[in-house]
Amino acid sequence: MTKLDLLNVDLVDATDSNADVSEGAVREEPKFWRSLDHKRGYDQTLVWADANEFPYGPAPEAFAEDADEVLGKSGGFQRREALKLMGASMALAGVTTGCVRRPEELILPYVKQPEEIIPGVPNFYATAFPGPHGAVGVVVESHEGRPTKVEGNPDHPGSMGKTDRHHQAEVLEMYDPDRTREPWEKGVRSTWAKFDDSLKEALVACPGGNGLAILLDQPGGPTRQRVLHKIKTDLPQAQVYFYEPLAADNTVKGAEMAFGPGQRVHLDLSKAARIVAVDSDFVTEGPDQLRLAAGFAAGRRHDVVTKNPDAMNRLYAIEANFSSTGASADHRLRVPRGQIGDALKALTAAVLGRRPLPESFGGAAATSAIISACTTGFQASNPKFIQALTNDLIASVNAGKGAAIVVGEAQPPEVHALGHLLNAALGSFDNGVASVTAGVAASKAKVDAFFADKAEGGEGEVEGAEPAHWAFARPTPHVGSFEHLKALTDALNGGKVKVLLILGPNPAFSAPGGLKFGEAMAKAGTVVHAGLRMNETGAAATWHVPLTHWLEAWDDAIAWDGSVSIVQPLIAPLHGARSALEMLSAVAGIKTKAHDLVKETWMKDLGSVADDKAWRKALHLGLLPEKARRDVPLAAGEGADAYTSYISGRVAGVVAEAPSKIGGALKALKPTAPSAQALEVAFKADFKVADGRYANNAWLQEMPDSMSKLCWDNALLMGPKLANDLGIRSHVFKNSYQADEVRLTVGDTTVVLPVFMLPGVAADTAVVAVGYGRTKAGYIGDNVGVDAWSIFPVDGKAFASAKLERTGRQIELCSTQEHFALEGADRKPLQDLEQLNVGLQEKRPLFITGTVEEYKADRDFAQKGSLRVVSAGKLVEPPERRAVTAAGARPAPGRPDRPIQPTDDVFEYDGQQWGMAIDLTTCTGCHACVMACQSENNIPIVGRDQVLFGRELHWIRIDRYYVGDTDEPEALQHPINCLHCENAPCEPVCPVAATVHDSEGVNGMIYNRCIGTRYCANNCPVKVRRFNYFDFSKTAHFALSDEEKRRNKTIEMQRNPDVTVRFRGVIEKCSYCYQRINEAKMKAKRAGQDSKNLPDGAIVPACGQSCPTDAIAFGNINDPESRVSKMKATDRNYEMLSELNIRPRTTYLARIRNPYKELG
Amino acid sequence: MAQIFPRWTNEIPKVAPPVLGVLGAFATFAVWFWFSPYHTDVGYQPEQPIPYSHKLHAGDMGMDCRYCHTNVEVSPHAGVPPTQTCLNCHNMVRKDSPKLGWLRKQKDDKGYPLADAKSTPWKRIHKVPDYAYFDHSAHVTVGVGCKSCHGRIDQMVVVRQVQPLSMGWCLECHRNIRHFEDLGFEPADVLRPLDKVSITDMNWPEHESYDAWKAPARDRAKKLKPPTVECSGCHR
Repeated sequence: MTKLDLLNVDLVDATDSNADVSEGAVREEPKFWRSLDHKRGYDQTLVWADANEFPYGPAPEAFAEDADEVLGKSGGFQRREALKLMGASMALAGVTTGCVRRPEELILPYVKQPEEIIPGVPNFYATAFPGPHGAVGVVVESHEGRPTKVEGNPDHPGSMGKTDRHHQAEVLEMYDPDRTREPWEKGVRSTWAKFDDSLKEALVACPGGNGLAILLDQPGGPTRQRVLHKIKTDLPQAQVYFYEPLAADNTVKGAEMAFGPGQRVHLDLSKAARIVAVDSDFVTEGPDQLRLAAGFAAGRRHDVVTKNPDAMNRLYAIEANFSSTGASADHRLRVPRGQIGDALKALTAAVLGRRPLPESFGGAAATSAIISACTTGFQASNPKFIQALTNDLIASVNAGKGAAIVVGEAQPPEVHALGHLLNAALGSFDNGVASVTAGVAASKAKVDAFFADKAEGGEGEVEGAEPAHWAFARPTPHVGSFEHLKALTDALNGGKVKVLLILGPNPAFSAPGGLKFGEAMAKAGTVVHAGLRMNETGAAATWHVPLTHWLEAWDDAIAWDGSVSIVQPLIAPLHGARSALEMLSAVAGIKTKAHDLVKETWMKDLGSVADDKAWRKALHLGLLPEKARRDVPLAAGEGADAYTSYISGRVAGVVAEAPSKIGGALKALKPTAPSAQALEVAFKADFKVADGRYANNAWLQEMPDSMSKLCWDNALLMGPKLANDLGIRSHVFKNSYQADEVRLTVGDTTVVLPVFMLPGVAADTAVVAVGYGRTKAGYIGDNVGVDAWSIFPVDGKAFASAKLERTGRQIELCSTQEHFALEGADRKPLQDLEQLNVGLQEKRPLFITGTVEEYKADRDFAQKGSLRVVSAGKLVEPPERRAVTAAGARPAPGRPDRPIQPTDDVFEYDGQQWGMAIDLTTCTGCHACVMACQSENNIPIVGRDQVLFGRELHWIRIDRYYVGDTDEPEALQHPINCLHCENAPCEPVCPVAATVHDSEGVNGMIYNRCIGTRYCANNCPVKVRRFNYFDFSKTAHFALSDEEKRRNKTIEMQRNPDVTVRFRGVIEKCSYCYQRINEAKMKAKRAGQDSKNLPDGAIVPACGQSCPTDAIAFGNINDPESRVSKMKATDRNYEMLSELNIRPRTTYLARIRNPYKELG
Repeated sequence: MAQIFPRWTNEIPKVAPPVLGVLGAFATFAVWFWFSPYHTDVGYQPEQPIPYSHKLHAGDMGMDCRYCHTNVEVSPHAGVPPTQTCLNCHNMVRKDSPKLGWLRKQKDDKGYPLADAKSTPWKRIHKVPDYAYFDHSAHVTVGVGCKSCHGRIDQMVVVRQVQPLSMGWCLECHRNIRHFEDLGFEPADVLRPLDKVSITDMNWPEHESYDAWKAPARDRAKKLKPPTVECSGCHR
């Protein structure tokens, strides 16, 4: 065991944690490591941390040196106080149970029951989440009018039935108790009537819109654009600005540079055999992430890999940060962000030398122009990587396979445009990997009408089929968010703005600090801020009014690919809020209600909805039934219809000119040269709280970051080498992380923040996430982490040169990377197993990974050393071991050929048996499952203090391991929920049989029986059992303060009524979403079908439902045709901890990497 | 030296064991009987905001249970009717009855519920704990009648609980059906024909078709997937 080895480590000085283990240490370095400290061997304080679930001891509150402080924070009790209360409560219990039958409970039926509601049966409504990159269609579950869970809309092209972590958490966002409940004027409660009067008065002072500025997050859907158009017509001097810090401005501008205004490029990664992610974390963020992630996974799905491992796709990542995409990549090149453009230039030059641009892009002349632009003033820093990548791309494309270059938002437009040219050279625009789409396509009916009109000699609008006001709201060429905000700031500073309406964004916080928007805002006469919460902008505004959440108001929205969706409310505004559309309508003098306004747009403006029936159908689907995306051929005039042919003519003109334009822009692109003294700091939107908008969302705050595993915190991330050079010593400490604090200076602004060592970050680069350090986020998000917006460059460029010095202080960071640590992913068999001589001496890691070559050479590599192996599609014991078991009498322990637990009394499971398979090849660690599980299963958050004790309650955790070199490691993502072992070690140790199996193989957890001994958690080999140390769900109403009761009121509305809300003192864990299993059975029973023989796909657990890459399969393992059985039948299927003979129902498919032979 | 204890105390050791034994037995019986849902829950009969008589409506007039409890076949909850359902009739029938005071306050002149009408605060009688997930539809659709759990509602002027609704009581039936042959249990007592009428029949099993149904019921009980006796069947 690794643990035993650790005891032999020559202990290193606790203060010198970066020192290597001294020579001659007995300890063998683990192959898979959780942290640098794990790889190196923990220091003195951590010898006992390894594989210890409770490094602080069972009740740290009572014994901690800072007990008072800890107790104050966690609401815990001292022992004596606990005894007193226990005595009192028992006495009271004696009194009350004798006299009172039970609390009287009321049944409150409807007065008039809505036709579509059946109490107890949830309804599902299609709507759309108007995200930063366009709408994502979702289906929302509603229990008697309360939306409780967000799931993807399978009909929507931006969702395809999947969601990401933020979509899942949006429902909590709506129930946030910190939301504004009434209008506030200068910090004093007011009323809507007063606000209306005040706004009317203010607007009168802006004749013709002179002095009126409106700041919105995005142009929004057709209806909002129609209203904006009316404002612009009636008040011609009014200015409208759009500020969305997460907007994909560079992506849009890059596409416009290559293909002309309004055009966008869409990638279909499922058709690409080689994918190069250039500073792009496309599996977890950015436009179209769900489709891109699904496309990426399609090329490495289990059937593809099993049938023909060589057909697997290959992902290269060139990036500065170590992102989830980098972790999923087969090869990764670490490059500081400022040099990534150069890496792409080198790649382009190399590729174009062998595959010129197609004729439509200017052919040979353009090719040489681009090559010269890509080689001038440029030194290839990684010639070997670039050369190998070129060879691989060319070979693959010549073999008729597709290749795709995906450029990330952090890169400037010209790098995006270069990526498009490279895609063109690789033939991606010919084989369907990449396609140009015609901006925001209007509806088919409208387009046809336009061309019919044109054929008759009519005067069409300039932008073809798009109504004029669409063109207004989406100006072409595209103007970026930061440019918009700069323009607004200048107007404010110039005294040109008398009335400023901010509907949604929070520029006083989430904007580059150098812009000093807050100061500029104070110069406007009246500032109206409408937002979910009284945030930084709201607090500084004259008026702060409540804004609706998208689940509360009618609107429509446009997806990244141009699909138009209806945003249908699921609930009336909780706090009497108004939507941005309603506020804009008020300014425009439109009296129509939002619902009618949207309907009017769809019927008249889009012309797609003919009558009420069609409107209802569109509502049902959530989007226009016709295909919205219109691909434009790159050959002029060859479009599928009149519209695309018309657009293709324009595009062809731009494309022919594009190379020279792009070449010129590229020449101006100067590479950076960071060093340890002047390092490069790269900015990113936080994985959890984005730009800060989700800072008050407790689910997201407590969700660990995909790579650093930081939660409730942000930090400056840097590689161990740079940290060493700078003398920074951050290290793991018990369940948390002791981090050196540094002063980071960008320009003349300094922030003080802790350093977290993230192996794999590019040399001389530090990465910091914006979105933390909010001061007016609310109860959850206030003063969590450090604000990096203050050093964010004003021009929106996502990197800057910075200086760094240590403050000499160390502070505690909250990271879960050491939590629930198993005995090392690189564990050796247990010693007693070796003595038992069961033929399991081979190393059986928890995480099994291999390359395509290894897999081809030995198809059964994942089965090596396993107690059970896959044979004829099932995990069975090999015959030689069976022979022993069949022999009869149970042999004495220690006899050869026996696993620890006997196998002869294993229950044979017949009929419908539930099981899960998780494909580690396609899991990207995006954490959508973690959030989906939290949302579905009423999992409470525990707060930062409790996470520091290792008490988080997530039913799924994603263990992240590193392999290899400390500076250039590979990373693995290992999602672990309850394995539902058939021989579950948790069950025999429970004194009250609160955890037992059912006949369908589910390891049930019966909360009302649990007495909280935690023996099961102790005996769980994979540490998936969670204990409710406190009443985290706040179910004990009598013990709550008034404030807690008030907060709970809305939070409770989110709870799923089909899942028990757990009280303190019980263990909980993954139930395979038993409520969904039961619901499927009940459905079958009601329909008179067989509930013991449900069809495949009748049950989809929340995690599998959300998984963008479909890595999680669930179903009947006794049905050979089910998806899960097919996955389990592959030779890569393996059991964790097989040698314990726990027979887990959740098995994993070994991860297969597909490295290129030239890179090894 | 004077005796500390008087002489009669010598008898205590002799008397104590039987007395303690009786006391112990009584205490055991007391807890077993008076603390069980058979005593604590059965017979619960709270006063309702509207003195609605099931005897009159379901019994004397023979209204089907599902006229008001509409969801019983499709939802875990049978459902308590909305005020509108009451007003369907009582806007015309006996609209001045003093018993309908609450209802009259909730409606306008035309008999529609007022916009600000309040929900009728019925007292809950039949309740299983929040952590137990009972499903009406699953029982009704396999032929378990209303009467099995709710008793002769058609004879109750004020509804009361007649069964303990405890876990042990639930399991009794679930086990009996599984092993009815061994236990000498008659499936027809609880399983009724799936003809959409028998389910709500309050006279069952004293019904004319009972004897004819005995054999088919046994047959069905054999074919029936055994009802769950597993924890996860109801607890999640």
